[in-house]
Amino acid sequence: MATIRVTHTIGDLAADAARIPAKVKREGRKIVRKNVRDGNTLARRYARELSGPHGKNYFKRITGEMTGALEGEYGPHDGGVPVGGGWRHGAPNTELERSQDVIGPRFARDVREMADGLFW
Amino acid sequence: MTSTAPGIDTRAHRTAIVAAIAATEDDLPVYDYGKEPATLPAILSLLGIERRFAEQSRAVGLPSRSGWRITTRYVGTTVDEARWAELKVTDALDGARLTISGFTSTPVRHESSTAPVLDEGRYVGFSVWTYVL
Repeated sequence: MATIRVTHTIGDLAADAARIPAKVKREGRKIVRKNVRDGNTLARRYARELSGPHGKNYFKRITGEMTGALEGEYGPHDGGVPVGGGWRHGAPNTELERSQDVIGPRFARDVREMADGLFW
Repeated sequence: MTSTAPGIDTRAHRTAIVAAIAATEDDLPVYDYGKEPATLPAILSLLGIERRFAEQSRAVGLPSRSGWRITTRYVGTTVDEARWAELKVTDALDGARLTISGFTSTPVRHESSTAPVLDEGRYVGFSVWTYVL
């Protein structure tokens, strides 16, 4: 029996598309790691600024690490109320929220630019 | 030079927030830090207001909006009392549009909460809220 096989490739685009998954894994990991590191630094700095005289070592509790291929986290090791963070001393520490103000848009922009760069 | 950002007088924010909470529950006092009375009521809440960083996406860089973050602490003699205070404040603030210095804010959004813990003899939790003027 005769068969007719039709093959059609769009050359470079096909080759690039095949490379995308590996590239996303590599570049994505770099972006997550960078933003976790930056977020951690920011959170620590804010914590240092916000903690009163009795909580001056609180910022050391805040660490960051990668928890998966494209996942990372930063934040304080759980320890209840930080020393110097008592409820009568003043507003609670908002260092994580403040770090998010900066990292949120930055992370979104990094991911957007990476996704855009996959096709050029 | 006056700021181009709206509503920069934090005192006006405090007035609006305290009024919103009082309208929901007038039995829940809201104090500023350091202004609690000498004999503490059983249940109270404490308010903190700070302006929030907002990335300027335009080259001019003069803000036409101001972002705000408020922290509300709930203090009770038991965990349940703190939770009650949390309910009243959440009822008053969550999704509310505050009128401050003639500007209407975006609906107040919940950002984070912490469960009540024993702290200097009381059970204390807090929530963090954000909105934009």
